[in-house]
Amino acid sequence: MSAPLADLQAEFAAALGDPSPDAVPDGFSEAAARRFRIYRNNMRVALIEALGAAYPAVLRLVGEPFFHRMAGVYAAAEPPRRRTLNLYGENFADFVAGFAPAGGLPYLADVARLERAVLEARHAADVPALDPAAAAALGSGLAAARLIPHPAARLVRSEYPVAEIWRANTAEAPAPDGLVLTAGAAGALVLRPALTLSVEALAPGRCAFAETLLEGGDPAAAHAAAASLEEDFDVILAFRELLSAGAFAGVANEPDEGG
Amino acid sequence: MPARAGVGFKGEHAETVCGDRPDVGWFEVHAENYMVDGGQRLAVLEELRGSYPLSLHGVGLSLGGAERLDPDHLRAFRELADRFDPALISEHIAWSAHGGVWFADLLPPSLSRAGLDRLCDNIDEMQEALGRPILIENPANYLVLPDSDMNEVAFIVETARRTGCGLLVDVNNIYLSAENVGIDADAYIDAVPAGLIGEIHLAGFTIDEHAGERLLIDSHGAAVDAAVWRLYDRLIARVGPRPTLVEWDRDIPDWPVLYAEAVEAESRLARLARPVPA
Repeated sequence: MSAPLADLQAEFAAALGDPSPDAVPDGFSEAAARRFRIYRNNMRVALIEALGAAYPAVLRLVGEPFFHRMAGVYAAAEPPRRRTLNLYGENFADFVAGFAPAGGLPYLADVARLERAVLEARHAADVPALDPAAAAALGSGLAAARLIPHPAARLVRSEYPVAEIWRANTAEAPAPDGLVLTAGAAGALVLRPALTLSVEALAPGRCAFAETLLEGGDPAAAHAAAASLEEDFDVILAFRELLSAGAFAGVANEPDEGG
Repeated sequence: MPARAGVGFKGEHAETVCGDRPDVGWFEVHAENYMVDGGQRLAVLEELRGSYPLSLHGVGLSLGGAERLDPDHLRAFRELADRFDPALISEHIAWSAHGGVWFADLLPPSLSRAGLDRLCDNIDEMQEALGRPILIENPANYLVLPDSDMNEVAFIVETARRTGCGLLVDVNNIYLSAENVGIDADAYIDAVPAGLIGEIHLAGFTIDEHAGERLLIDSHGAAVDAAVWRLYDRLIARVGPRPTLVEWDRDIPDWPVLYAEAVEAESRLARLARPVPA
Protein backbone atom coordinates (compact mmCIF):
# COMPACT_ATOMS: atom_id res chain seq x y z
CA MET A 1 0.00 0.00 0.00
CA SER A 2 2.64 2.53 1.00
CA ALA A 3 6.18 2.58 -0.33
CA PRO A 4 8.87 1.67 2.17
CA LEU A 5 10.50 4.68 3.76
CA ALA A 6 13.83 4.34 1.96
CA ASP A 7 12.18 4.03 -1.48
CA LEU A 8 10.01 7.06 -0.88
CA GLN A 9 12.96 9.21 0.21
CA ALA A 10 15.03 7.94 -2.71
CA GLU A 11 12.24 9.00 -5.09
CA PHE A 12 11.95 12.38 -3.42
CA ALA A 13 15.72 12.88 -3.49
CA ALA A 14 15.97 11.87 -7.15
CA ALA A 15 13.29 14.37 -8.11
CA LEU A 16 15.07 17.11 -6.12
CA GLY A 17 18.30 16.30 -7.92
CA ASP A 18 16.72 16.10 -11.37
CA PRO A 19 17.86 19.02 -13.53
CA SER A 20 14.38 19.36 -15.01
CA PRO A 21 12.34 21.90 -13.04
CA ASP A 22 9.23 19.81 -13.73
CA ALA A 23 10.56 16.66 -12.07
CA VAL A 24 8.38 15.32 -9.25
CA PRO A 25 8.47 12.08 -7.29
CA ASP A 26 6.62 9.19 -8.93
CA GLY A 27 3.05 8.78 -7.80
CA PHE A 28 2.61 12.36 -6.56
CA SER A 29 -0.75 13.92 -7.35
CA GLU A 30 -0.84 17.21 -9.23
CA ALA A 31 -1.46 19.09 -5.96
CA ALA A 32 1.41 17.29 -4.21
CA ALA A 33 3.65 17.98 -7.19
CA ARG A 34 2.95 21.70 -6.87
CA ARG A 35 3.86 21.56 -3.19
CA PHE A 36 6.97 19.52 -3.97
CA ARG A 37 8.32 22.43 -5.97
CA ILE A 38 8.50 24.51 -2.78
CA TYR A 39 11.16 22.17 -1.41
CA ARG A 40 12.96 22.28 -4.73
CA ASN A 41 12.90 26.05 -4.70
CA ASN A 42 13.96 26.26 -1.03
CA MET A 43 17.01 24.17 -1.81
CA ARG A 44 17.88 26.20 -4.87
CA VAL A 45 17.52 29.51 -3.03
CA ALA A 46 19.54 28.29 -0.03
CA LEU A 47 22.42 27.20 -2.27
CA ILE A 48 22.39 30.38 -4.36
CA GLU A 49 22.36 32.50 -1.20
CA ALA A 50 25.27 30.48 0.21
CA LEU A 51 27.26 31.07 -2.99
CA GLY A 52 26.40 34.76 -2.93
CA ALA A 53 27.70 35.00 0.64
CA ALA A 54 30.90 33.14 -0.28
CA TYR A 55 31.52 35.01 -3.57
CA PRO A 56 30.34 38.60 -2.97
CA ALA A 57 32.80 40.19 -5.40
CA VAL A 58 31.81 37.83 -8.22
CA LEU A 59 28.18 38.66 -7.46
CA ARG A 60 28.88 42.38 -7.60
CA LEU A 61 30.91 42.10 -10.79
CA VAL A 62 28.19 40.28 -12.73
CA GLY A 63 25.09 41.65 -11.00
CA GLU A 64 22.40 39.74 -9.16
CA PRO A 65 20.31 38.37 -12.05
CA PHE A 66 23.35 36.96 -13.83
CA PHE A 67 24.83 35.60 -10.61
CA HIS A 68 21.57 33.85 -9.72
CA ARG A 69 21.45 32.19 -13.10
CA MET A 70 25.10 31.12 -12.95
CA ALA A 71 24.87 29.96 -9.31
CA GLY A 72 21.64 28.12 -10.09
CA VAL A 73 23.31 26.12 -12.84
CA TYR A 74 26.22 25.32 -10.52
CA ALA A 75 23.91 24.35 -7.63
CA ALA A 76 21.95 21.96 -9.85
CA ALA A 77 25.15 20.31 -11.07
CA GLU A 78 27.04 20.29 -7.77
CA PRO A 79 24.70 19.89 -4.80
CA PRO A 80 26.46 19.96 -1.43
CA ARG A 81 28.02 16.77 -0.15
CA ARG A 82 28.76 18.28 3.24
CA ARG A 83 26.02 19.50 5.56
CA THR A 84 27.45 22.94 6.08
CA LEU A 85 26.79 25.85 3.78
CA ASN A 86 29.73 27.96 5.03
CA LEU A 87 32.17 26.20 2.79
CA TYR A 88 29.83 25.23 -0.04
CA GLY A 89 31.05 25.94 -3.56
CA GLU A 90 34.52 24.46 -3.37
CA ASN A 91 35.00 24.26 -7.14
CA PHE A 92 32.81 27.21 -8.11
CA ALA A 93 35.81 29.01 -9.64
CA ASP A 94 36.45 26.13 -12.05
CA PHE A 95 32.79 26.19 -12.97
CA VAL A 96 32.91 29.95 -13.56
CA ALA A 97 35.96 29.47 -15.80
CA GLY A 98 33.93 27.13 -17.99
CA PHE A 99 30.65 29.06 -17.85
CA ALA A 100 30.43 30.40 -21.40
CA PRO A 101 28.07 33.35 -20.72
CA ALA A 102 30.73 34.78 -18.35
CA GLY A 103 33.40 34.63 -21.07
CA GLY A 104 33.40 38.42 -21.42
CA LEU A 105 34.98 38.74 -17.97
CA PRO A 106 38.17 36.66 -18.34
CA TYR A 107 39.33 37.54 -14.80
CA LEU A 108 36.08 36.40 -13.14
CA ALA A 109 37.24 32.85 -12.38
CA ASP A 110 40.43 34.17 -10.77
CA VAL A 111 38.39 36.55 -8.59
CA ALA A 112 36.32 33.51 -7.57
CA ARG A 113 39.54 31.63 -6.77
CA LEU A 114 40.65 34.50 -4.57
CA GLU A 115 37.27 34.64 -2.81
CA ARG A 116 37.49 30.91 -2.12
CA ALA A 117 40.97 31.44 -0.66
CA VAL A 118 39.61 34.26 1.51
CA LEU A 119 36.72 32.09 2.71
CA GLU A 120 39.02 29.19 3.58
CA ALA A 121 41.42 31.56 5.33
CA ARG A 122 38.60 33.00 7.44
CA HIS A 123 37.60 29.57 8.71
CA ALA A 124 41.07 28.04 8.97
CA ALA A 125 42.49 26.74 12.24
CA ASP A 126 43.71 29.30 14.76
CA VAL A 127 47.43 28.67 14.92
CA PRO A 128 50.03 31.22 16.08
CA ALA A 129 52.32 32.44 13.34
CA LEU A 130 56.00 31.55 13.43
CA ASP A 131 57.90 34.13 15.43
CA PRO A 132 60.33 35.87 13.03
CA ALA A 133 62.96 35.72 15.79
CA ALA A 134 62.69 31.91 15.84
CA ALA A 135 63.36 31.84 12.11
CA ALA A 136 66.26 34.26 12.48
CA ALA A 137 67.74 32.04 15.20
CA LEU A 138 68.29 29.33 12.58
CA GLY A 139 71.07 31.50 11.19
CA SER A 140 72.76 30.18 8.09
CA GLY A 141 70.73 26.95 8.39
CA LEU A 142 67.65 28.92 7.37
CA ALA A 143 68.43 28.58 3.67
CA ALA A 144 67.79 24.84 3.81
CA ALA A 145 64.96 24.89 6.39
CA ARG A 146 61.46 23.80 5.47
CA LEU A 147 58.80 26.18 6.72
CA ILE A 148 55.32 24.97 7.62
CA PRO A 149 52.72 27.16 5.90
CA HIS A 150 50.19 28.77 8.22
CA PRO A 151 46.84 26.94 7.84
CA ALA A 152 45.17 30.13 6.61
CA ALA A 153 47.85 30.97 4.01
CA ARG A 154 46.67 30.80 0.39
CA LEU A 155 48.34 32.01 -2.79
CA VAL A 156 46.24 32.65 -5.86
CA ARG A 157 48.08 33.06 -9.15
CA SER A 158 46.52 35.26 -11.78
CA GLU A 159 47.47 37.26 -14.84
CA TYR A 160 44.93 39.82 -13.68
CA PRO A 161 45.14 42.24 -10.74
CA VAL A 162 42.73 40.11 -8.68
CA ALA A 163 43.60 41.59 -5.30
CA GLU A 164 42.59 45.07 -6.47
CA ILE A 165 39.51 43.83 -8.28
CA TRP A 166 38.46 41.94 -5.18
CA ARG A 167 39.11 44.89 -2.88
CA ALA A 168 37.13 47.23 -5.08
CA ASN A 169 34.17 44.85 -5.11
CA THR A 170 33.78 43.83 -1.50
CA ALA A 171 32.87 45.59 1.69
CA GLU A 172 36.33 44.76 3.03
CA ALA A 173 37.49 48.18 1.93
CA PRO A 174 35.66 51.08 0.35
CA ALA A 175 35.89 51.04 -3.43
CA PRO A 176 38.49 53.54 -4.61
CA ASP A 177 37.45 56.24 -7.07
CA GLY A 178 39.50 54.64 -9.77
CA LEU A 179 40.82 51.13 -9.66
CA VAL A 180 44.56 51.26 -8.99
CA LEU A 181 46.05 48.26 -10.70
CA THR A 182 49.40 46.88 -9.73
CA ALA A 183 51.36 46.68 -12.92
CA GLY A 184 52.48 43.16 -13.61
CA ALA A 185 51.08 41.54 -10.50
CA ALA A 186 51.35 37.77 -10.68
CA GLY A 187 49.06 36.78 -7.86
CA ALA A 188 47.55 37.53 -4.49
CA LEU A 189 48.58 36.29 -1.07
CA VAL A 190 45.87 35.68 1.53
CA LEU A 191 46.90 35.47 5.18
CA ARG A 192 45.08 35.41 8.48
CA PRO A 193 47.64 34.74 11.22
CA ALA A 194 45.31 35.95 14.01
CA LEU A 195 41.78 37.14 13.30
CA THR A 196 42.67 39.87 10.80
CA LEU A 197 42.63 38.95 7.15
CA SER A 198 45.14 40.40 4.70
CA VAL A 199 45.05 40.19 0.91
CA GLU A 200 48.14 41.45 -0.87
CA ALA A 201 49.03 41.69 -4.55
CA LEU A 202 52.38 40.10 -5.37
CA ALA A 203 54.82 41.00 -8.14
CA PRO A 204 56.25 38.02 -10.08
CA GLY A 205 59.40 37.60 -7.99
CA ARG A 206 57.59 37.69 -4.66
CA CYS A 207 54.88 35.48 -6.03
CA ALA A 208 57.37 32.78 -7.05
CA PHE A 209 59.20 33.18 -3.73
CA ALA A 210 56.05 32.82 -1.62
CA GLU A 211 54.68 30.02 -3.77
CA THR A 212 57.84 27.95 -3.48
CA LEU A 213 57.91 28.35 0.29
CA LEU A 214 54.19 27.63 0.75
CA GLU A 215 54.56 24.50 -1.34
CA GLY A 216 57.30 23.25 0.95
CA GLY A 217 60.41 24.36 -0.92
CA ASP A 218 63.32 25.71 1.12
CA PRO A 219 64.30 29.39 1.14
CA ALA A 220 67.29 28.75 -1.13
CA ALA A 221 65.03 27.22 -3.79
CA ALA A 222 62.49 30.04 -3.32
CA HIS A 223 65.25 32.61 -3.80
CA ALA A 224 66.38 30.90 -7.00
CA ALA A 225 62.82 30.87 -8.35
CA ALA A 226 62.38 34.57 -7.60
CA ALA A 227 65.79 35.61 -8.89
CA SER A 228 65.10 33.94 -12.23
CA LEU A 229 62.22 36.41 -12.67
CA GLU A 230 63.69 39.52 -11.02
CA GLU A 231 67.42 40.04 -11.33
CA ASP A 232 67.79 42.28 -8.29
CA PHE A 233 65.27 40.39 -6.11
CA ASP A 234 65.71 41.42 -2.46
CA VAL A 235 65.39 38.05 -0.76
CA ILE A 236 66.07 39.34 2.76
CA LEU A 237 63.31 41.93 2.56
CA ALA A 238 60.83 39.55 0.93
CA PHE A 239 61.49 36.88 3.52
CA ARG A 240 61.22 39.29 6.44
CA GLU A 241 57.91 40.60 5.13
CA LEU A 242 56.45 37.13 4.65
CA LEU A 243 57.51 36.11 8.14
CA SER A 244 56.13 39.18 9.85
CA ALA A 245 52.87 38.97 7.86
CA GLY A 246 52.31 35.52 9.37
CA ALA A 247 52.67 33.22 6.37
CA PHE A 248 54.21 30.38 8.39
CA ALA A 249 53.29 28.37 11.43
CA GLY A 250 56.64 26.77 12.19
CA VAL A 251 59.80 25.09 10.94
CA ALA A 252 59.40 21.48 9.84
CA ASN A 253 62.95 20.31 10.31
CA GLU A 254 66.17 21.58 11.72
CA PRO A 255 68.44 22.08 8.73
CA ASP A 256 71.20 19.94 10.21
CA GLU A 257 68.86 16.94 10.18
CA GLY A 258 69.06 17.03 6.42
CA GLY A 259 66.02 16.19 4.32
CA MET B 1 18.08 27.30 30.37
CA PRO B 2 16.03 30.20 31.79
CA ALA B 3 12.35 30.28 30.75
CA ARG B 4 12.95 33.59 29.06
CA ALA B 5 13.00 34.89 25.51
CA GLY B 6 16.12 34.09 23.50
CA VAL B 7 17.28 35.30 20.11
CA GLY B 8 18.70 33.44 17.12
CA PHE B 9 22.23 34.86 16.90
CA LYS B 10 23.34 36.38 13.61
CA GLY B 11 26.84 37.55 12.71
CA GLU B 12 25.29 40.84 11.57
CA HIS B 13 24.51 41.61 15.22
CA ALA B 14 27.83 40.47 16.69
CA GLU B 15 29.18 43.97 17.31
CA THR B 16 26.02 45.22 19.00
CA VAL B 17 25.53 42.10 21.08
CA CYS B 18 29.15 41.68 22.19
CA GLY B 19 29.58 45.42 22.68
CA ASP B 20 26.34 46.39 24.42
CA ARG B 21 25.42 43.08 26.10
CA PRO B 22 21.66 43.62 25.70
CA ASP B 23 19.35 42.03 28.27
CA VAL B 24 18.44 38.86 26.38
CA GLY B 25 17.74 35.58 28.18
CA TRP B 26 19.90 33.44 25.88
CA PHE B 27 21.06 32.94 22.31
CA GLU B 28 20.67 30.08 19.86
CA VAL B 29 23.01 29.26 16.99
CA HIS B 30 22.85 26.78 14.14
CA ALA B 31 25.47 24.14 14.82
CA GLU B 32 26.37 23.84 11.12
CA ASN B 33 27.48 27.48 10.95
CA TYR B 34 30.20 26.77 13.50
CA MET B 35 31.63 23.55 12.08
CA VAL B 36 34.82 25.29 11.02
CA ASP B 37 38.41 24.91 12.17
CA GLY B 38 38.82 28.41 13.56
CA GLY B 39 38.48 32.10 12.90
CA GLN B 40 36.29 35.02 13.87
CA ARG B 41 33.05 33.08 13.99
CA LEU B 42 34.17 30.68 16.70
CA ALA B 43 35.85 33.55 18.57
CA VAL B 44 32.55 35.44 18.65
CA LEU B 45 30.71 32.34 19.86
CA GLU B 46 33.23 32.00 22.70
CA GLU B 47 32.52 35.58 23.67
CA LEU B 48 28.77 35.09 23.42
CA ARG B 49 28.91 31.98 25.54
CA GLY B 50 30.82 33.89 28.18
CA SER B 51 27.87 36.24 28.69
CA TYR B 52 24.73 34.26 27.82
CA PRO B 53 23.34 30.73 28.04
CA LEU B 54 23.61 29.04 24.66
CA SER B 55 21.36 26.71 22.67
CA LEU B 56 22.87 24.63 19.88
CA HIS B 57 20.38 23.92 17.11
CA GLY B 58 21.18 21.44 14.35
CA VAL B 59 19.76 21.61 10.85
CA GLY B 60 21.84 18.95 9.08
CA LEU B 61 21.70 15.61 10.89
CA SER B 62 18.65 14.41 8.94
CA LEU B 63 17.16 12.56 11.92
CA GLY B 64 14.06 11.73 9.89
CA GLY B 65 16.15 10.19 7.14
CA ALA B 66 15.87 6.55 6.09
CA GLU B 67 19.67 6.39 6.20
CA ARG B 68 21.87 6.13 9.26
CA LEU B 69 23.36 9.35 10.61
CA ASP B 70 26.44 10.70 8.87
CA PRO B 71 29.28 9.80 11.26
CA ASP B 72 31.45 12.78 10.29
CA HIS B 73 28.64 15.23 10.84
CA LEU B 74 27.71 13.63 14.15
CA ARG B 75 31.34 13.85 15.26
CA ALA B 76 31.52 17.53 14.30
CA PHE B 77 28.30 18.13 16.25
CA ARG B 78 29.68 16.38 19.31
CA GLU B 79 32.92 18.38 19.16
CA LEU B 80 30.96 21.62 19.14
CA ALA B 81 28.73 20.45 21.99
CA ASP B 82 31.79 19.41 24.00
CA ARG B 83 33.53 22.71 23.40
CA PHE B 84 30.62 25.08 24.05
CA ASP B 85 28.61 23.01 26.54
CA PRO B 86 25.23 24.48 25.49
CA ALA B 87 22.27 24.54 27.88
CA LEU B 88 20.04 23.05 25.15
CA ILE B 89 20.66 20.93 22.04
CA SER B 90 17.98 20.47 19.41
CA GLU B 91 17.40 19.03 15.94
CA HIS B 92 14.49 18.40 13.58
CA ILE B 93 12.30 15.39 12.85
CA ALA B 94 12.70 16.28 9.17
CA TRP B 95 15.21 14.67 6.82
CA SER B 96 17.67 16.57 4.67
CA ALA B 97 20.14 14.15 3.13
CA HIS B 98 20.09 11.07 0.93
CA GLY B 99 22.69 9.15 -1.05
CA GLY B 100 25.52 11.44 -0.01
CA VAL B 101 23.77 14.66 -1.08
CA TRP B 102 22.56 17.28 1.39
CA PHE B 103 19.47 19.21 0.33
CA ALA B 104 19.91 22.33 2.50
CA ASP B 105 16.24 22.19 3.45
CA LEU B 106 14.03 20.37 5.92
CA LEU B 107 12.14 17.71 3.99
CA PRO B 108 8.83 16.23 5.16
CA PRO B 109 9.12 13.26 7.51
CA SER B 110 7.14 10.08 6.98
CA LEU B 111 4.58 10.07 9.80
CA SER B 112 4.36 6.28 9.76
CA ARG B 113 5.44 3.34 11.94
CA ALA B 114 8.50 2.81 9.74
CA GLY B 115 9.32 6.52 9.90
CA LEU B 116 8.92 6.56 13.66
CA ASP B 117 11.18 3.54 14.18
CA ARG B 118 13.90 5.05 12.00
CA LEU B 119 13.63 8.47 13.69
CA CYS B 120 13.87 6.88 17.14
CA ASP B 121 16.99 4.91 16.14
CA ASN B 122 18.61 8.08 14.83
CA ILE B 123 17.71 10.08 17.95
CA ASP B 124 19.07 7.25 20.12
CA GLU B 125 22.34 7.40 18.20
CA MET B 126 22.60 11.17 18.49
CA GLN B 127 21.79 11.18 22.22
CA GLU B 128 24.27 8.40 22.81
CA ALA B 129 26.99 10.28 20.93
CA LEU B 130 26.30 13.47 22.87
CA GLY B 131 25.72 11.75 26.19
CA ARG B 132 22.63 13.86 26.84
CA PRO B 133 19.02 14.22 25.74
CA ILE B 134 18.07 16.50 22.87
CA LEU B 135 14.90 18.33 21.86
CA ILE B 136 13.21 17.57 18.52
CA GLU B 137 11.37 20.14 16.44
CA ASN B 138 8.19 19.83 14.39
CA PRO B 139 8.58 20.90 10.74
CA ALA B 140 6.69 23.39 8.60
CA ASN B 141 4.73 21.16 6.23
CA TYR B 142 3.87 21.94 2.63
CA LEU B 143 2.67 18.45 1.81
CA VAL B 144 1.91 15.16 3.54
CA LEU B 145 3.88 12.21 2.20
CA PRO B 146 1.79 9.36 0.77
CA ASP B 147 2.99 6.96 3.48
CA SER B 148 2.07 9.26 6.38
CA ASP B 149 -0.80 7.77 8.35
CA MET B 150 -0.17 9.14 11.86
CA ASN B 151 -1.15 12.40 13.45
CA GLU B 152 1.98 14.56 13.88
CA VAL B 153 1.45 15.25 17.59
CA ALA B 154 0.95 11.57 18.34
CA PHE B 155 4.06 10.85 16.24
CA ILE B 156 6.38 13.26 18.06
CA VAL B 157 4.99 12.43 21.51
CA GLU B 158 5.56 8.72 20.98
CA THR B 159 9.05 9.48 19.67
CA ALA B 160 9.83 11.51 22.79
CA ARG B 161 8.46 8.82 25.11
CA ARG B 162 10.49 6.11 23.39
CA THR B 163 13.80 7.95 23.17
CA GLY B 164 13.65 10.14 26.26
CA CYS B 165 14.13 13.29 24.18
CA GLY B 166 12.12 16.47 24.75
CA LEU B 167 10.17 18.64 22.35
CA LEU B 168 10.97 21.93 20.73
CA VAL B 169 7.55 23.25 19.77
CA ASP B 170 7.76 25.54 16.75
CA VAL B 171 4.52 27.47 16.97
CA ASN B 172 5.06 29.15 13.61
CA ASN B 173 5.48 25.74 11.97
CA ILE B 174 2.24 24.50 13.54
CA TYR B 175 0.42 27.53 12.14
CA LEU B 176 1.98 27.02 8.69
CA SER B 177 1.12 23.31 8.68
CA ALA B 178 -2.45 24.18 9.65
CA GLU B 179 -2.76 26.65 6.79
CA ASN B 180 -0.87 24.55 4.24
CA VAL B 181 -2.02 20.99 4.88
CA GLY B 182 -5.11 21.53 6.97
CA ILE B 183 -4.26 20.29 10.45
CA ASP B 184 -6.03 21.86 13.45
CA ALA B 185 -3.53 24.24 15.03
CA ASP B 186 -5.45 24.79 18.28
CA ALA B 187 -5.92 21.06 18.78
CA TYR B 188 -2.18 20.53 18.09
CA ILE B 189 -1.19 23.23 20.60
CA ASP B 190 -3.54 21.73 23.21
CA ALA B 191 -2.30 18.18 22.71
CA VAL B 192 1.43 18.61 23.35
CA PRO B 193 2.20 17.31 26.84
CA ALA B 194 3.55 20.15 29.00
CA GLY B 195 6.17 17.94 30.60
CA LEU B 196 7.87 17.24 27.28
CA ILE B 197 8.28 20.84 26.13
CA GLY B 198 11.82 22.14 26.58
CA GLU B 199 11.76 25.06 24.17
CA ILE B 200 9.46 27.06 21.89
CA HIS B 201 10.32 28.63 18.52
CA LEU B 202 8.67 31.71 17.02
CA ALA B 203 9.40 33.15 13.57
CA GLY B 204 7.87 35.01 10.67
CA PHE B 205 6.64 33.54 7.40
CA THR B 206 6.03 34.80 3.90
CA ILE B 207 2.96 34.26 1.73
CA ASP B 208 3.40 32.61 -1.65
CA GLU B 209 0.49 32.96 -4.02
CA HIS B 210 0.84 30.91 -7.14
CA ALA B 211 -1.72 29.57 -9.60
CA GLY B 212 -4.59 30.41 -7.29
CA GLU B 213 -3.04 28.61 -4.35
CA ARG B 214 -2.01 30.40 -1.19
CA LEU B 215 0.85 28.85 0.77
CA LEU B 216 2.70 30.06 3.82
CA ILE B 217 6.46 29.64 3.54
CA ASP B 218 8.68 29.24 6.60
CA SER B 219 11.04 32.00 5.53
CA HIS B 220 12.22 33.26 8.93
CA GLY B 221 12.30 36.58 7.15
CA ALA B 222 9.60 38.65 8.85
CA ALA B 223 8.16 39.61 12.23
CA VAL B 224 6.09 37.04 14.13
CA ASP B 225 2.52 37.07 12.81
CA ALA B 226 -0.45 37.98 15.05
CA ALA B 227 -1.98 34.54 14.50
CA VAL B 228 1.25 32.91 15.70
CA TRP B 229 1.37 35.13 18.79
CA ARG B 230 -2.20 34.00 19.54
CA LEU B 231 -1.16 30.33 19.36
CA TYR B 232 1.86 31.08 21.51
CA ASP B 233 -0.33 32.73 24.15
CA ARG B 234 -2.58 29.69 24.14
CA LEU B 235 0.39 27.35 24.60
CA ILE B 236 2.18 29.17 27.41
CA ALA B 237 -1.07 29.89 29.26
CA ARG B 238 -1.52 26.15 29.48
CA VAL B 239 2.01 24.79 29.96
CA GLY B 240 3.69 27.66 31.77
CA PRO B 241 6.86 29.57 30.88
CA ARG B 242 9.40 27.96 28.53
CA PRO B 243 12.57 29.21 26.87
CA THR B 244 11.23 30.93 23.75
CA LEU B 245 13.34 31.69 20.70
CA VAL B 246 12.70 34.42 18.19
CA GLU B 247 14.24 33.40 14.83
CA TRP B 248 14.97 35.78 11.97
CA ASP B 249 17.37 34.31 9.41
CA ARG B 250 16.63 36.11 6.14
CA ASP B 251 16.30 39.84 5.37
CA ILE B 252 17.81 40.25 8.81
CA PRO B 253 16.70 43.49 10.46
CA ASP B 254 18.75 45.83 12.63
CA TRP B 255 19.19 44.60 16.17
CA PRO B 256 16.47 46.83 17.77
CA VAL B 257 13.77 45.28 15.56
CA LEU B 258 14.76 41.74 16.52
CA TYR B 259 15.23 42.72 20.16
CA ALA B 260 11.69 44.16 20.20
CA GLU B 261 10.37 40.73 19.19
CA ALA B 262 12.19 39.14 22.11
CA VAL B 263 10.82 41.81 24.47
CA GLU B 264 7.32 41.06 23.16
CA ALA B 265 7.76 37.33 23.82
CA GLU B 266 9.08 38.08 27.28
CA SER B 267 6.14 40.33 28.15
CA ARG B 268 3.75 37.55 27.13
CA LEU B 269 5.70 35.05 29.22
CA ALA B 270 5.37 37.36 32.22
CA ARG B 271 1.69 38.09 31.63
CA LEU B 272 0.32 34.72 30.60
CA ALA B 273 2.60 31.94 31.64
CA ARG B 274 2.07 31.22 35.28
CA PRO B 275 4.34 28.46 36.47
CA VAL B 276 2.34 25.25 36.47
CA PRO B 277 2.88 22.99 39.47
CA ALA B 278 4.56 19.80 38.40
